[in-house]
Amino acid sequence: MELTLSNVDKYINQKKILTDINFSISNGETVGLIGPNGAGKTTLLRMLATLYKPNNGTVTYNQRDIFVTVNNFRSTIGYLPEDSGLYNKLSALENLSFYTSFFNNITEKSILQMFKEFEIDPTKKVGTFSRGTKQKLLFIKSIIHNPDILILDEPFNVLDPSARIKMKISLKSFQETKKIIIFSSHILSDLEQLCDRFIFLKEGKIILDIKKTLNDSFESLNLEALYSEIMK
Amino acid sequence: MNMNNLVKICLHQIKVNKLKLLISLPGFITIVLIFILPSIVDNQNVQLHNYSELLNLYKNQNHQLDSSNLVIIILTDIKLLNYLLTMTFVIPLFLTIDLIVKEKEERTIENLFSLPLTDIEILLGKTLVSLISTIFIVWFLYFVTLIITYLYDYKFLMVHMVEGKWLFSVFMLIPAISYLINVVAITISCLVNKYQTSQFIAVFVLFPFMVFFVLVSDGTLIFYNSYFLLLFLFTLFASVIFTIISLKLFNREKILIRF
Repeated sequence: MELTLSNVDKYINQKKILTDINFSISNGETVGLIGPNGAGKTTLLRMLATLYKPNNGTVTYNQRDIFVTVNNFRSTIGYLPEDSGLYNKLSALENLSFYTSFFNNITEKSILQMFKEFEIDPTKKVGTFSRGTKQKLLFIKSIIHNPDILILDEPFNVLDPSARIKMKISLKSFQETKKIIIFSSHILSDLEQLCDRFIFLKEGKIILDIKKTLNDSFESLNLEALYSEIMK
Repeated sequence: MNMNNLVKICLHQIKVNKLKLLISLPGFITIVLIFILPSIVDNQNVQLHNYSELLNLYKNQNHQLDSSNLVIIILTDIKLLNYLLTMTFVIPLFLTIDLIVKEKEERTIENLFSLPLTDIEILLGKTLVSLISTIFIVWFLYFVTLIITYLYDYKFLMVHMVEGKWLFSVFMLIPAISYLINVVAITISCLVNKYQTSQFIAVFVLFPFMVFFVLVSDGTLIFYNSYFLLLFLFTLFASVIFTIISLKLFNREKILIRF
């Protein structure tokens, strides 16, 4: 199983956001998207979540254009958008029950198990939650149906340290299922811990695509130093 | 189109808008039963009384009375029908117009759009609650009014309410208009970014229809029976056109970029 972007360009309001994006992600890979604000990370992740169509080029999964059989593809992804909301008037359980009702094999028991893991009160109205708790809930929403591709846009934003640790543990165990994970974060140490590959974006272009295992010098190179070096 | 998904979205809408539905639906019913219906019936009694006086006066002054020259249009049932038709416009606009815009404001739209749902499932699923609510309220009011007219012996009203025009309006025209207004409302909801803007547009859309129904109720405009069929055919045609427009305008990417 491979997720491939070939010669992808994306314009938004006549402005070119992504230019000639080419990469493939295989099963079992965890890819970190790195870049400054406005580099095109969110646009790229939204495209992988089928929310944006490329103006040029193709996005394929398992050699099939994801926009041709779009709903089949959507049922294989888990997506956590940046700064998104939940239904404040509903409880945590009601929110999750709605989102998960469109995927197979998710029981209330498994939802409650996740709530317990992340210390979320299922009966409480989401409107009363802190931003961090809402983010945890959105993370559960994106991962609970065991998707083939997990797309996370700034998942560690607004989380307190203990929630970040829990989310990382959960991501680590998800990695063991050998699925595709792609996520963006400004916290480079988190990316360093979790990812085995890094794609650096600048002004909508890939300026570096580097694998942890294939680059001998990588181990000795600090990600922060690398970032400063290539974003000059 | 997956019917299961439609039902899920519809039930979700009921949960999210529970308070709004709990207040507005009994509210609409109460307004008609407590304020509108008695005023129409009372007004009609006065009018009938005046008509009979007028007829007596006319008869006394002119013994050659030829009833075929005398045309009196009794508007009671038309007035009531107009109120029901007006509600068919008001309820969907009230319930549907903010459905997409609210998702934008609460930033839940991106999560919704990434679910394995087709455009038509989202649009129809969201409008279904309002469509069912409108039809339920109108039918409920129709049957309650029929019972009231029977119990209180308002036969002048009751005989009209079981005529073809009424049955056609209540069971065919009103569901069709309700669907059309729902589609128009959800289209507006897709296009705007703020709840207040959607409400403002709703008033604009509603205003000409309100004026039209007031003029018909008033007797200024006479709405002949054949017009009901024409209105129905127009509604069906407009529904098809607006469904196509709505699906074209329901562009997830544009909606996300715009907000």
